[in-house]
Amino acid sequence: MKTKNLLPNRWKPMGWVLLVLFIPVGFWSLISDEDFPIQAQITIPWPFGDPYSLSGTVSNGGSDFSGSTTLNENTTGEATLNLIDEIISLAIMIGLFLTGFAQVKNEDERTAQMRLGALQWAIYGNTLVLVLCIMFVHGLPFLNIMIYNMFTPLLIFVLRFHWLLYKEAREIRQNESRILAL
Amino acid sequence: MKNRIRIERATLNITQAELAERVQVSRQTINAIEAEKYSPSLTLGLKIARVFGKTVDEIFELEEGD
Repeated sequence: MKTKNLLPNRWKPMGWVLLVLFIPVGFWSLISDEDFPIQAQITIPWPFGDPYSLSGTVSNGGSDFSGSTTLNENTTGEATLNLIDEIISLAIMIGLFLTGFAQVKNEDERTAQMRLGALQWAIYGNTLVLVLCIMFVHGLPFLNIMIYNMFTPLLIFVLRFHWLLYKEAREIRQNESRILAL
Repeated sequence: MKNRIRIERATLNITQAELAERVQVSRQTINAIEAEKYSPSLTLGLKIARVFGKTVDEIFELEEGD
């Protein structure tokens, strides 16, 4: 039975690989005070004046989010960007997308319905947590909430969907072993 | 929604896997329908009924609260 708007099943393992590699790296870069050991710097022409306004994050300023953008003081009109945060974020986002929206091995209308149910559950859960955070977290820490919140709807959805698949497979196995035991 | 799939399968002497293959869904889906944990779409209901040579009404029955 055909299901619409899903990626082929062969993309799913790639999604898991991205998640296993980059979620720990993402947590580390958020929690750790050190700069990430691997840099992905590029220098681009920046003829529009102060590149600080590009992202508001500077490596030699007072910001907590150091290492993102540097004004090359000796070379006017250029900005050096460190894209490692962007690469990590994209890898996690693409990983979540592939694991959530690639077809499962036995894809049919019921798995499609389970996927939609998990998506609804994730939006409800995320909204509830976000409402609580808006009420009780103020100031700069709320910025961290917003960073996590970029990923939490997809993350909760992927966890919920795969938990439902696992739970059902387990129930069927138990039923079958019960039947065989009779 | 009640259904008579298990009985009809026994009459035809086919397994859940064989029925699943004929209507192009997973065995887990047939299992869930038989256990009345999942109500199939109209398309799938029609396909199942066609395998047994019956109408949808003869295979599926609405319950109170459906």
